[in-house]
Order: sequence, then structure tokens, then C-alpha cells
Amino acid sequence: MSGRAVPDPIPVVVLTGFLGSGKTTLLQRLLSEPTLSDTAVLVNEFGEIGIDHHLVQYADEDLVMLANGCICCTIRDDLGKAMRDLLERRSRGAVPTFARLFIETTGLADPVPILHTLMTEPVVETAFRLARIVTTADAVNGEMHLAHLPESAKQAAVADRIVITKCDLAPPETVTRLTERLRRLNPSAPIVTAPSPAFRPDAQLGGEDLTLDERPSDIRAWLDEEAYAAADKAPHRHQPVDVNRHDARIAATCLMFDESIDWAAFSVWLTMLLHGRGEDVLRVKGIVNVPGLDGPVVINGVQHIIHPPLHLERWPDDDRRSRLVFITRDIPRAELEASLSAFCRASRLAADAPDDGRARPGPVGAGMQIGGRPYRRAGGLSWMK
Amino acid sequence: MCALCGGLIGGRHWSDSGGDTRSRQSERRDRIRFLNRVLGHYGMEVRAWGRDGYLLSGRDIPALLAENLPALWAKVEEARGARCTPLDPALLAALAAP
Repeated sequence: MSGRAVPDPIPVVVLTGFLGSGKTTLLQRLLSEPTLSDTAVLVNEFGEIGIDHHLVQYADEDLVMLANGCICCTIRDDLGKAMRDLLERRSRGAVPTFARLFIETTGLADPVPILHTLMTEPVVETAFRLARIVTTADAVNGEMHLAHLPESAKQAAVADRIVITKCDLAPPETVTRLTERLRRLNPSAPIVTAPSPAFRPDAQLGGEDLTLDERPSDIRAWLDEEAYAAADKAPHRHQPVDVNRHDARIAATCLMFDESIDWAAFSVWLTMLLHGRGEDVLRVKGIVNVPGLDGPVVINGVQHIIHPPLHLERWPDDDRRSRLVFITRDIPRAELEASLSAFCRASRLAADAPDDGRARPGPVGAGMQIGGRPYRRAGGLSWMK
Repeated sequence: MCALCGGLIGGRHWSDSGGDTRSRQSERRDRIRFLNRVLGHYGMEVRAWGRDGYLLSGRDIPALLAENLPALWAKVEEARGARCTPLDPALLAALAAP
């Protein structure tokens, strides 16, 4: 029997950013880069600028226009459908084979539903994989957007890379202030400024992916817990929070645990946290030292969406501590740390408790009620008997 | 989707580390034991249901089925009529008790 090799998932770059921050301009520049010529693009038809005619003509073969104006939760079916259509057109040769996909969102888009679509839509979840989220923030209005638009702060918090645009239109001190505010929101995302001689758009949106399972040494760059630890010690942490500034309610923090963390306790804790406060956990990632495993378990999530954890075969270095970095809204670091510590201690107590059989399936049977209704064991239809 | 119980077939929750059958059963046993330590604070308990599901019960609540961990927290909140988070100081105090 001859088996067909399963193709590698196509990397997806989500390009999001503040209103009027130049996403489309960046996209236009990207599509003119020879190294990114084999790129398909999904854009919003009614984006704040709209993709211009030149680009539509230039990228016509690779462009799928979405019917609605905003790739958000209300139309994420459209995004999934657009991605499936793209695959179908590629398979019958209606569009050239492409190596990657860019998705441009509107400035008011919440990026999380897009990630949800990528990870849960049938077909899409196996054919594509999220490579990175790139967020643009413009130097002129970026601070105002961060302060007053919750979407902007979230876009910055979930980014893997941030591009500050229009730096030639703003005083240098404004650019510096915006950079510092973005760094507080998201300490590990590299921030680059544009235009600048060193700025190369293809390196920001294209570029090599981190492959943590193949190169555990990449973890240090990916996690960058030192940046989060520095954010914990920053002077602004000890100042009163300006409740009128939306981004002032968001904080980045790093928790470290010397002892290994029981997987049962961790999974119960994180699912409970994400259920109760998922809207306020903008980002979580880290490596967990789970007893009995040779390497760490890599955790990566955005709000209530957690990527399937990676089990690494070995540690990148001699440091065996569990390290978890969070970007949260209105959740003090001390509460997070106290909570996970308490769950870890409780797991050690639970491990000593005798097995009372409740972990085995059943017993559920006649006379019992489920959801207020009598339980009936499923049986064959009467006419079949 | 299972037409009988509504559970997802084949879909794995991230908390399931996906080892062989024996390690999955062991992991599930550990998780339920720990869940019962947490749920004891709310006067509830769970038992295993099917491959991945949970049967939630309590003294004053009807038994409820949940297909995975996130669904379980939704059922716990439904039964309590209040939000539950792991940041709740009362819960943490209860967990600290031997």
C-alpha cells in the first residue's frame, strides 16, 4: 500500500495593528520582496485603508477577499471558509502553490478569534499553522490608542513581533515613550522601528521560525524570561495605576518554580484560571518541569486558547526551573504566584490520599439522574430487537 | 461529535498529554483525584465518564456531565451559580488544609 506523505502545515503570519498604523503599507512592501513572492494574502475588504488597486492587481492570483469587513468572532466562519477556498483553489491549480499565508486584520480586530479559527476549524487546523503575530503601532497615535482602545493593548500584548511605524513623523522622545510602553506590555516581543535603514519588512514578517522541538536552545529567545523579570522590577510597578489608561491595567510578569510541577495540578489550575479569568490572561507561555519527564513541557497560549503542549526530549541547559510568563489584565503577580503555589502544595497532599475509585469510569446506572433527568442506559431501537 | 453524549470524538484537550493508554489512565486518575480536592471546597466531586468526560455531582445538585476540563468548570459554575477561579483566597485556604 502506498501512502501519501502528509504535507507540512503552511505557516500563517497574522498581521494586526492599530488603526491607521500602516499595515497595508507594510503589506505592500512585503509583497514586493522577491523572497516573499510565494505568499498568499487574505485581507479585509473594508479595512480602514483597504488594499489598493495596485496591490489587488499585483496579487490578484493570491488574494481572497473576505465578504465582511472585520475578521473577528462574528465572521470567523468566513475566515475559515476563505482559507479552505484558498486550499481548494491551490489544489486544482487555480492559484499558484504558496509557501506561506499572511492574514491582515482591521485595526479594530481582536486577534484572538483569528487564532481560534486557525486552531479549531476542520481542515484549516491541519493544513495551516500559526507562525507568528506581527503587530504594527504608529509612533504618532500609538500612545493614545494604547490608553483608550482595549483592542490596541491586546494586539500589542499577543504579538510575537512589534513594528513601530511612522517614526519619521514623530519626535524621537515620543517614539522612545511608545517603545517603553509597548515593552511593558510585552517584554519578549522584539520591537523594531520604521522607517529606518535597518528595517527589513521581509525579516519581520517572513524569516525563520523558532522550532523549539528541534532546537531546544531556541527556548531562551522565545521565552525571554529575563525581560519579564526586568518588567517585574521596573519602577512603574510601584506607582499607582492610572485607571483611565487602559494599558496601565495590563502587566507582564514571570513566575519561577524551583520544584517540579505536577501535571494534574497544573492542568487543573490553568483550565480553571482560563475559564474564570481567560479574558484577563492575554498571554501565557513557559516551560514546565513535570516529574518523570526528561525534558520540559512547553506551554503557549493566548487568552483561552492553548496550543497543544510540546514535550521536549531534553532541557536546553542546566536550569531545570519551571518558568511561566504571563501578560495579564487586573491580576496582580502575587495572586497568580500564591494560587499556583497553593495548587502545587495541594497536589502533593492529594498524591498521598488513597484511591477511592472515583477516577474509574462509572458507576452510573438506573435510578440515577443526570442534569435532572432519569438516566437510561442506551440500548438498541425497539424495532431492531 | 458523539450523538449520544455530545462528546468530541478524536479531539484531544491540551491537558491530555497523549501518552499510551496506561499513562493516559494514570494521568486521568491523578487529575480526578486532584480535582476532587479542589471541588471538595464547593461540596462537589467528579467521577470519570467515558474516555475523557467527567460526571459532576454534589449533595444539592443534579449530576451533570462534562466532556472535558473547560466544560467541567462551566458545569461547576452552573451548579454553584457563581464564578470560580483559582485566585479565590477561600479556595486557596481550603487547599492548604491537610
